[in-house]
Amino acid sequence: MAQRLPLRILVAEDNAINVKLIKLVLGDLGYRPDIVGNGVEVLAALRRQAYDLLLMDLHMPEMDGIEATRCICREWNKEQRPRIVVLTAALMPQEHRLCLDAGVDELLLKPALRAPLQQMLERCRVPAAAQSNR
Amino acid sequence: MQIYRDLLEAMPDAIVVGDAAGRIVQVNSQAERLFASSRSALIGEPIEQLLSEPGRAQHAEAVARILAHRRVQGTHATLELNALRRDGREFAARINLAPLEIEMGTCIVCAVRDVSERQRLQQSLHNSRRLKSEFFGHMSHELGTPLNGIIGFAEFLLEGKSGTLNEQQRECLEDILGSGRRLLRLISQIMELARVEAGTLELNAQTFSLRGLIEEACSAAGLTAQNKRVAIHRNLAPGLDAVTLDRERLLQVLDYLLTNAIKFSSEGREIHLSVTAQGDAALCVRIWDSGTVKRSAELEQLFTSYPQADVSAIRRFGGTGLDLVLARRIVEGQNGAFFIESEPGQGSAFTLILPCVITSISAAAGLSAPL
Repeated sequence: MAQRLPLRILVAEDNAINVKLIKLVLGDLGYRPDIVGNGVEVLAALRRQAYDLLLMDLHMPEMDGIEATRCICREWNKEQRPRIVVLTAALMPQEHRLCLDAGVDELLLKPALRAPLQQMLERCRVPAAAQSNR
Repeated sequence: MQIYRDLLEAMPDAIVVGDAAGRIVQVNSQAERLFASSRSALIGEPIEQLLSEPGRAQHAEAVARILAHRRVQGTHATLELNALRRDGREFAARINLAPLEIEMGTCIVCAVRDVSERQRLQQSLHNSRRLKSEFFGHMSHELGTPLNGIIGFAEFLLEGKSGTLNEQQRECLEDILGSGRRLLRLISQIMELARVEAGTLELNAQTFSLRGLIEEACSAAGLTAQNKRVAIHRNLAPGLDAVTLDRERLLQVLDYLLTNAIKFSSEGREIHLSVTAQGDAALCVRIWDSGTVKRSAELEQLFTSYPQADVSAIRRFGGTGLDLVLARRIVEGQNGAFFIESEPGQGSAFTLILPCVITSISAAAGLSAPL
């Protein structure tokens, strides 16, 4: 899948087991995501290099997913920033609204299974550079 | 006149009688206590001095309205505003106003009740409901996180990604996955309950075909039904088709009720689902089964705080009763009504009435076929 749809993926997740799982599932599809543990690290990573997809947990230490999304949307416009997908175990009442208002593009509920993940990846935009190379 | 005095004294509320000019002409001793004053000090004073400033205009308006309609039988007004004791302290009051015709002319009788305690209790009830919902929300997240690993890894291994599995390994992994999914369903139901109780249920009305919805609900429950050899008979009233209401919520309620009906049916029994119009602005959905008899006490328990009281039923069916609690709450959240009937030896029937727009009643015949 990664050959057809080359994406630079950043994963923000603080739970070690869940990091292992997402690496396993994405790795099986041919992706090698970069991993960070909280919102502050997400911003630092995005300043270092461009990504096509940010797959982020909501509840993280230091800076949570909603706050991180707000910061990203302030710093980069829609063309420059990655597609923001929130991956969470459970949505608290009102969190759905909060996420969309903050600028999250898509919400996925854990468990992060292969089929919904694949569908989500299909919705990502292939970077222009990779497209012209083919 | 003595009878009149005695009557005022017999009232549980503080009574203040004012004349048409707004001066106090009579009070009972409950009023003396409530406003921390004496009868002699109160009589002759403007009645609005017993109210805190923001409520005075509202009170004056209500009095004017009552005086204008004083000849109309049953004229009265109820106000909830802050009253003012003579020592300067305010309290939340509920005031009932009514006209009174006596020799000296038209008066206004005000029955005043201190409702600050009731308001405080309501606020604290509201707070504890909110805290409970938040607690459920946090717990669900905490439970869901490790479950992500359990289900995710089991699925990964079952796909054969790390080598071929032998029969026993496959069977064990399927059990892990199955158990994980059951737990996940339970957690999402608890979340749903928290959402419903917090009053944040979002509704999206859309126009859709009932026929399609019924098929979808029955096919979702179909596999479980087949495994238990339970047949689902469905019946849509002839001509009834397009309606406007929240499709996903109705599908969810049907799913809960069908799942529950299948769970409580013994093997080889039948479940009936019928959908009819209730007047021209409501839908009536009825699901009845020929399953295990439920005692009425048990049914009562289904809707109290902890749903399924009978431990043996939990063991037999692995349920929590959350299905029914949620179905009822979702229906009531849309101003609908939800009924349960249970006949010993016959089984149970669940009926829900949902207000909706019946968009079209087509000429086509209804469907009636077993699954």
